[in-house]
Amino acid sequence: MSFLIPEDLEQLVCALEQKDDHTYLCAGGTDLLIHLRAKKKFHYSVIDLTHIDEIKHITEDEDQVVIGSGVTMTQLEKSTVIKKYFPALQMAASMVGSTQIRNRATLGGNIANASQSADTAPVLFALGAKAVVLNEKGEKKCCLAEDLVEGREKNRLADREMILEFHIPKKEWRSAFAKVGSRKAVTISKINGCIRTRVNQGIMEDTVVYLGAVGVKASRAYLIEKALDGKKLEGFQVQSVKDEIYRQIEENITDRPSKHYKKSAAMGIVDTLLEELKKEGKEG
Amino acid sequence: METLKYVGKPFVREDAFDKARGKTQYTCDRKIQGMLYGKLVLSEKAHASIQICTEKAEQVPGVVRIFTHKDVPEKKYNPHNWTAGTGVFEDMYILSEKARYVGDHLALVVGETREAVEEGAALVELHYEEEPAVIGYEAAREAGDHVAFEKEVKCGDFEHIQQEEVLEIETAGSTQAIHHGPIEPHIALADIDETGNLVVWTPCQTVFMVRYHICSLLDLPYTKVRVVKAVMGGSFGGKGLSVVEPACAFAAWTLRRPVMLYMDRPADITATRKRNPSCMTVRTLVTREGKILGRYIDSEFDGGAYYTNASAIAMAFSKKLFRLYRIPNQTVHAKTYYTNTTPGGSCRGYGSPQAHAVTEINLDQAAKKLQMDPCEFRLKNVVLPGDKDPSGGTDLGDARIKECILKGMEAFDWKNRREHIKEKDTDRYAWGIGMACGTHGNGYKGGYPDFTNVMMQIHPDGSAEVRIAVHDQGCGTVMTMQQIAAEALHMDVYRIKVPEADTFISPYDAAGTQASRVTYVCGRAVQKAGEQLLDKIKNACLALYGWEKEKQEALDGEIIYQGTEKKSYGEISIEYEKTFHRYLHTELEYEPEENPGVYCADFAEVKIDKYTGLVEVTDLLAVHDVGQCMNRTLSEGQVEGGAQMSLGQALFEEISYDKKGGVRSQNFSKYHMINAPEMPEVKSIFIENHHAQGPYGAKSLGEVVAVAPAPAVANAINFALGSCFTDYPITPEKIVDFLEKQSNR
Amino acid sequence: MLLTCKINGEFISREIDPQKRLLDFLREDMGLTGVKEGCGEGECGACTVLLDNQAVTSCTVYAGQIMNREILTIEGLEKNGELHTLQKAFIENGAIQCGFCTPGMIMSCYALLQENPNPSRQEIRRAIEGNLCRCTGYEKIIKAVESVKGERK
Repeated sequence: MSFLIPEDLEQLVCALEQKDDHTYLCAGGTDLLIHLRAKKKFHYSVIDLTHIDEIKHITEDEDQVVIGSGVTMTQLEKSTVIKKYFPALQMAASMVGSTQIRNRATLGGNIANASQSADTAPVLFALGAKAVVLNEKGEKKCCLAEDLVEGREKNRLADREMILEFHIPKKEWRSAFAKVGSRKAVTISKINGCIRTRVNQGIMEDTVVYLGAVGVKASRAYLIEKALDGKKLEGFQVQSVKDEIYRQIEENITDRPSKHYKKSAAMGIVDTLLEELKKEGKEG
Repeated sequence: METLKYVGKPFVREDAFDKARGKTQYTCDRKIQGMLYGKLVLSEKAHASIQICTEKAEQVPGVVRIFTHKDVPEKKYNPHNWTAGTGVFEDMYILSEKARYVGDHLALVVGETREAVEEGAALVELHYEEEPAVIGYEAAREAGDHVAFEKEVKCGDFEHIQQEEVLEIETAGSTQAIHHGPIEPHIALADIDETGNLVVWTPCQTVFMVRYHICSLLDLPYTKVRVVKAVMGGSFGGKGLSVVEPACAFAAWTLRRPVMLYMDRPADITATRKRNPSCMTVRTLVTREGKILGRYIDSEFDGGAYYTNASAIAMAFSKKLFRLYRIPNQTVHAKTYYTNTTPGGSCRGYGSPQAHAVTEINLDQAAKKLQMDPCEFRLKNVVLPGDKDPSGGTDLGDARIKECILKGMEAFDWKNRREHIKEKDTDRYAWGIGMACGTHGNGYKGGYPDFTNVMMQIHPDGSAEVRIAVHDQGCGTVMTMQQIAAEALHMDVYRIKVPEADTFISPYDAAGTQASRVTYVCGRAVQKAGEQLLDKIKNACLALYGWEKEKQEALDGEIIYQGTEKKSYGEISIEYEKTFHRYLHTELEYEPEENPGVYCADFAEVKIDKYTGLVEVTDLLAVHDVGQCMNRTLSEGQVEGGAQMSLGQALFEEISYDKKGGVRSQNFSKYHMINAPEMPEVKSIFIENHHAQGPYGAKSLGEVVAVAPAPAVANAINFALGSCFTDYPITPEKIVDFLEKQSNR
Repeated sequence: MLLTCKINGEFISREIDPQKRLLDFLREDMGLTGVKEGCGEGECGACTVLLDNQAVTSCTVYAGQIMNREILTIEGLEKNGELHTLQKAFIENGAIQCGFCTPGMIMSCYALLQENPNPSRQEIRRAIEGNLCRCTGYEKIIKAVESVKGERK
């Protein structure tokens, strides 16, 4: 049983090469340690990911922002770049777990864990984020972040692969995130959601809506999108799209008893999202 | 009443210093040479015969011994029995022979390290042969033979109320299973001392109870077992009954080595005790003028898998209902069931949080039907100072519930807010305010033996030592006793030492830290002992110096004679011993003459998100009839902490079981206690009317604080939405469900 | 594994089991028992310590992960026997009852004040959202932090 602490990508590739079925990649550890203890696993190996500086930065170039997979929720919350281009991501990061958890939990971990209620997932998906994946041979491949997630705690990474970074295109978008859990703070989302839209002369265009925790993974809410796109943002009342919201949830989780609650909660989500989008217009 | 110099003042408690430094040694922080660790293996099934295979676990390096039912004494006990005379039905072994709930204690793994014990416990194989599990009231009723206890308490004759124009208001409701939630999980440490005694350190509420259980189970003489109350990281009743102590003592005694038996949070939630869930139907008869004529309450309790407090919870619940309002005809029928869930046990408020949870909603409904203000309606019916308990309980004493309501109405601006709060409503948010009252007791007087002993002495250095078996649960009991002793002895609070309970050191106490008796009973005992000791000091001065007693004045640890001469207590102690061959020392046995009520009225404001069903408590005012605050800071701390627990009952907390008895909320990620962002700023008002028989006028506070916030919030929600929620917790799902049904109508 | 790191201001170099939780390493190997375990899943915050100046729950960190990092526990707050202002404020404001959540609570508040010496009540609430307390209802804790606003170190 080994505990490897790679300090750069080269060492990381070597570590991945040695990885077997009893080896776990550990970034913040906020899920992994609890998970392994609950499963009563006592003998395993660990590859620590918290000492690789290369995956801990947020950088921007002309048309995209690159976020290392080891960037923490706290970093995302405080980053001026993220706040400027992707307010939704900032909001989502700020609502994950508690202060202590946000200081450790990483964006890579949040996606790779593939929880259906992951808060950053609907945001990355809505923003069309791409993920760069590294394998044990040192090869990199690029795909949509959404395609890496199978759902229900399963990802589509191969055994010796890991997420290196995310690329999010810079666009003239407003975006917002909202979640509803059992309480205000430190809560797992019963439902969460993200809207990204371009507001052109007050009209929402190119609108994309994702909802999380209403299916195996965050997914696009076409019915809601359609109901919002092309509408004037200012003065928009969520009540006017109640039918579409209810139908969307019905479609997502027909067989789930929780759908009754989530329909109404989704109203709250969309209402909050629209309010946030309006605010952004005033701030921006 | 002369002015108090020490009582009521916000003295800083001494234990806070080391606690702030992380230096306080809780049981989990202790290490004894050769100490082993112990962990219980818990049942994962609610009802099953079991076969246990320990072979694999025994092979884990460091595992020393694995005990199962066949190893423990063939003797049952009831962890609820706090004395040998309590005599409630015994049905629990140290380790069970079959699984009766998820969490039942089936095996004990003892090893050299925590790692070894953890791995060993994981490798103990449990083979179950499942039997049908009785989960919930419905199943318990159907099972037929699952009634553990049933009784009726009554006054007057509800069935034959003769009056014209009577309104009947019926409310059915329920309260949930609640986890005590101390941040320190259950733990105990046992060792054998240099003279062969078994010593057990435990953060418990009653050392004499733990001693009784251990002696009875291990067949050891009382004189050979020393139970020491350890620093406690919170209890709230959870550590009120023995839980891990017997198994820990058994392992240490058997292996002749020190053993620390610890629990983790899932064990603490599933395998200790819980606040008994209750369900009830309340029928209240009122006149058009708003006078309550009678009430009938049919209640049921989920007692869990063992008897424990099956009778006590039903009785504690029932009796409270006769002590808040003047109800001439009332019948309370209570029944406790065995179910295949965590056993019930004491939990802050013992019966009161259940008793008032639904009846207070029922009263709001009555007021609504009468088109009366809920406060005005209550004011017409509350008990008054000097009232008797119509069911035959002890007198209510200086019951100041009326003042609580009136003061609260004024401070909360009740009438004005009630009239205008709905103006704040929007499409999404609904606002409401509500209030509720509560009562609780001051000890066991009238029900069980309630007495205590104090030994108090002045040392040659002028310090005082007060020996009384108190158990500080974290609320500041020790400081309270210091302040009372200081007041009686007229000396510096910080020169008084009050060691906590230790069966080898403390004089006997009948009931421990239970039933809100400590300030009222133990505190009064300390006051009396202090007065007795001061009298002795004065007599000593008379004998030593010829100072007439009437001309002596005690001040700051000195006796001043005629305003000029003075001697410190230390000097007197030395000279008294030298001259008379006696120590400045006194002993006292004290039994209270009565057991009055304490009262509260809580006022809450809520903001409800109609889409998400989330409720935010935006304001909370708690008015308490305490007789006299012992320590302003500590008193407020009790009110604020009690509110945290009660608001959790209102909105979030629930140990929830699936149909097969599996526990869904095994840790804090699923069992939601109120965290800081959710907690409103709580305002406290204290009615200090000096209850004659309390220590310097004080009555209890620590339990009644956890009673009324929940129904106040429920009433506020119901006012905001026009709903009638009566089942706790009032979750977002329930609120949304109600609103959806309403909008579809 | 040979661990090198800084704990409460002192450089440490010792053989450790890297797969131990940081919580267990600090308590058992280093004797820093002020770090408490209340839930073992990062929900109650009793085990909060500072890792490179940030509050973390030490039950969700591997001991091996603190390689070359800096840890501050409650035991590291006092200097030469003098308590930190925040510790004094907790004592004086009645923010401590049973005390089991206290070390973690103080560390979360300390981390907040390092970054934001003048927090609002809301910011204080948020900083301790991951620290459960059953005794106090948080009010006196918030007051304690408010009382040291503006003071540093």
